[in-house]
Amino acid sequence: MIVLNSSDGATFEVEESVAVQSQTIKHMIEDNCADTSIPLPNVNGVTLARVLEYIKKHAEAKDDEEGLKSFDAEFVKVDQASLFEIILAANYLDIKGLLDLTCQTVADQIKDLTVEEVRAIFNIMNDFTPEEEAKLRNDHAWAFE
Amino acid sequence: MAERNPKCLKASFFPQHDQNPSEKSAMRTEPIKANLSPASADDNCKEDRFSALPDHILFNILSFLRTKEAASTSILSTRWRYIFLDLPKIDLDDYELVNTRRFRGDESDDCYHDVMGELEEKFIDFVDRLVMHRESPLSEFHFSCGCGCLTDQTIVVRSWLSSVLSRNVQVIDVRVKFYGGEFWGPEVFPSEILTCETLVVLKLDGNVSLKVPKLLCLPNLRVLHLDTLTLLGDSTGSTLKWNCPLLDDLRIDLVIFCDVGLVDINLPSLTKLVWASEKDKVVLNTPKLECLEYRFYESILSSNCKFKFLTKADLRCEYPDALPEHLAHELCQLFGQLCNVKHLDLRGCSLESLLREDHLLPEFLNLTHLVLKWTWIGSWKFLEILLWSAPNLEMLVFELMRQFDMASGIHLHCGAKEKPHCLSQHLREVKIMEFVESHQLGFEIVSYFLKHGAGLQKMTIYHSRTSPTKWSSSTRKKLMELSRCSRNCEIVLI
Repeated sequence: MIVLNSSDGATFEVEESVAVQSQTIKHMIEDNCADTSIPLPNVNGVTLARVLEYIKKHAEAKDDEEGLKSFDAEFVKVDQASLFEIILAANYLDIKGLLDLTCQTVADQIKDLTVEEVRAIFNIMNDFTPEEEAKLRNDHAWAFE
Repeated sequence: MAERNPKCLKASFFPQHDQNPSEKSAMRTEPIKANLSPASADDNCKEDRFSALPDHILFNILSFLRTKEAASTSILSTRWRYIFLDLPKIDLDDYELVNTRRFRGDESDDCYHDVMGELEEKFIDFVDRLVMHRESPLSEFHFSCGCGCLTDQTIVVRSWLSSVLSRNVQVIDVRVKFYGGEFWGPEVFPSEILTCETLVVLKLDGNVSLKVPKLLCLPNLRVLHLDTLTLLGDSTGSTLKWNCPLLDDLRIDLVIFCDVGLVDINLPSLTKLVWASEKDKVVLNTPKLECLEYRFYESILSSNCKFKFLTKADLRCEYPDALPEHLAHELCQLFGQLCNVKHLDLRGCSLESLLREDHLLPEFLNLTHLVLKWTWIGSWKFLEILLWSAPNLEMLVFELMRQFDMASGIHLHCGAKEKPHCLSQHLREVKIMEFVESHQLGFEIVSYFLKHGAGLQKMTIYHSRTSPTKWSSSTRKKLMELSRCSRNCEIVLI
């Protein structure tokens, strides 16, 4: 069993065979940095718990394609802030499947929206001057057809 | 500034709660997939966590969008301005060019051509910026030009491809369709494409031509699909050789070879081959082949090796009449090399000519599934010979009408003659298609399998599709009452 420490002091126990889905943790184990426990200063407790839920499910139900698909669909039904936390954690822990799943989720959300709608939903501030924006729209004219 | 977004997002912002139905349907055709739960007043009020993500994660997210959509993110804010230009994957389709909201008229409209001309210009401009003026490497280039747009722009398309090739690209997937033009189609694909060191997947499809070098040297290539192209050799007609040590999947479909001599397919790693092009003098040297789909017409390829790992072979003969002597002989040779196969499909071939030279017929020891559709069987004895050579056969599919010479005798139960071993051992399912009620041969054949198939579990008989009536009750009765060796055998009439 491997012990993981989140940034806010929570500890989690997980089987090594499951934990190595994270390439980061895998390398730490291989480099013998995992004597007592592995510190993960970039991931808070709540997010780490979610990530562990994902990798545990994907380890145990490896061959159940249908089951994993519906698990994944439910897994990403979280609020915006949590989704981005999971993305950053998946990136830091280097878990490709989780990173792709969460990135695809964000992509699906912006897919059919206008630029204004995307800005609104993600609180993106438009810091272009009207002239700059007009020039950009003209330079890449076809993208805005 | 009109663009400033509201200070706080309330739950009511999300469109499906707020807008009235008619407004909503004008904006998009499907409802928003709101995986996001509505933000509370304090929650995401100030933070733009999206833009705060590092570049490579933004690339990952945008890579799930088509290039056109990804490009529109460039005006979200200054942070986003150049992101899409460095995306490692380009995915464009000229269908998007045609299918724009602005175009509402029809082709006879005067302004149609102006609108299309303008759009085409913008499209070319856009791709130029993306492909020609970029510095970052490009890993995938997907481009589909199936609507015939850019017919007059073959030089432009070619320049894009040359530029893409110079950027360590790994995947090229291009489909073009041009109207008019020269006989072989314009040379849109630069010939350096066939000597590119970084390519892993290459798919080219289009009524265009491509000059082939004497040696196709693609050291990292795993997948090569060429469709509809014309390959132009030099006029010396020298041998076309391949140096693609990692090539696993090759497809040559409706490709025309012009001025190309012998094609020597020496591919040590090839496992999947689809060959559906007319070319004489083709030699296969593909010892690891597992899956073969071969459509032939007037020339037969030859093989230097028996395919030890072949599991599936799908032969389709498109020659309209009986094959001439020399071709039939070559086909028999090839047929003999397929002896290790598990699944065999012989469409359009003639069993009669394949088995004529039965000294060449090998034993198909691994054959479990045999499909004979539109296969001319001729006489029952040929089918029986084939059954003898496949002692482990488990499933057999063949057709009755037009596949047998109905005039030949129907002597299927000649005395105490021994029956093929597969019948008593492994054969568990038989499907007979195109059953004609009026001919005795059908009943004889069905009876043969039922009587001798000790392990038979299911016999499915499909009524002939050209006959006006369906199964008559007397035929049903007759078939159901035939004696069965295997008591569990189910008979299904469709």
